[in-house]
Amino acid sequence: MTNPYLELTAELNRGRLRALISSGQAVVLHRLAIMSKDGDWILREDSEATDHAIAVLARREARYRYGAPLDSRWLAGGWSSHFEMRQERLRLRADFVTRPPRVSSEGLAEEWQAAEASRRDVIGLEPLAALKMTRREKDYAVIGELARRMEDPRSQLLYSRSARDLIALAASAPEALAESTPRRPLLARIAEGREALEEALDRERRALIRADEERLARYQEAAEAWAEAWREVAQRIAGLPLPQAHAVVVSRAEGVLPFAPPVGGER
Amino acid sequence: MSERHGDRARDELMRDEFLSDEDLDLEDLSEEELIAYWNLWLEQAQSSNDLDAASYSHGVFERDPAVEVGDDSPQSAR
Repeated sequence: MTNPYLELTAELNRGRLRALISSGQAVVLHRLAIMSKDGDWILREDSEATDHAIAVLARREARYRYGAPLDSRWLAGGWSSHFEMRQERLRLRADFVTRPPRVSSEGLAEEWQAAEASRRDVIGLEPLAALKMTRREKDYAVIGELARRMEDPRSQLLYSRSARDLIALAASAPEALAESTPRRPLLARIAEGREALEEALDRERRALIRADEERLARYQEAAEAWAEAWREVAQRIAGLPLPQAHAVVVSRAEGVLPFAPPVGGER
Repeated sequence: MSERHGDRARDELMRDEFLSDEDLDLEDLSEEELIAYWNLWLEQAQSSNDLDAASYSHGVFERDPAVEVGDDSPQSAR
């Protein structure tokens, strides 16, 4: 027995590890919860990987949804590409990024190395927790449980959402606490007790939610002209095989959708 | 027992809960059971396809501008 997202991952990775299952379906594979019906992958940022993904999706008669072209020039700017297909009674969605938010380039390189070494095709617990720091409240519950699955106390200290867990960790791993505190200022509040720590955790969560909202707002603003053009693009690609649709999307996006959103107040 | 001592004893017994026991039971499933449950969940989740035709679960886009609410044309999410 298999699962449609596992089958798709196997096809994406035939001959080379190109895609790591991420987000909601990774949460399932880490055996925490089933919370999302859409598939999300971190893809290698090169043309072999994007060409292969287009070919796999084309065989499944996928169509482009509104989003960035599956092309490294845009993906390197943090944009996401989105596809949809049918498999019997299921509507499957396939979403791709090459630069997952809140994962450093060094962290991402390490993640690819670790995945290659262990022959796994699902993102690890730490980067998964980082990318779950979204604007959605429910994701912080997932992070809380992900942190409990981490083996290294330093990782637990960086991601735990539980004041009780943090207090216990500080007592059992004081060296890890000293090492982790510069990376997570909230850890300095552990000595003040549970209530102060819970307030700090709430404040930290709200700050993370706001930061994610601001990040997404930058992309929305940068995509305004592309959103206006999309209805016409969608009409042009309707019914086209995916490789041809992809060529249209790339050519229409050039000059309309910037490769990366402006940084800060840049226009 | 002092109030502070009672708090500490309770803290030792309790733990912060993030997900339900039902969610966390995934850990005890065999590979085959996990996939069967996952597939069943995906099938049941199809009931909300019309409601989320324009929306996104991942990435940096929020809504598909070509999909109107209640739009069932071929260009809308199928």
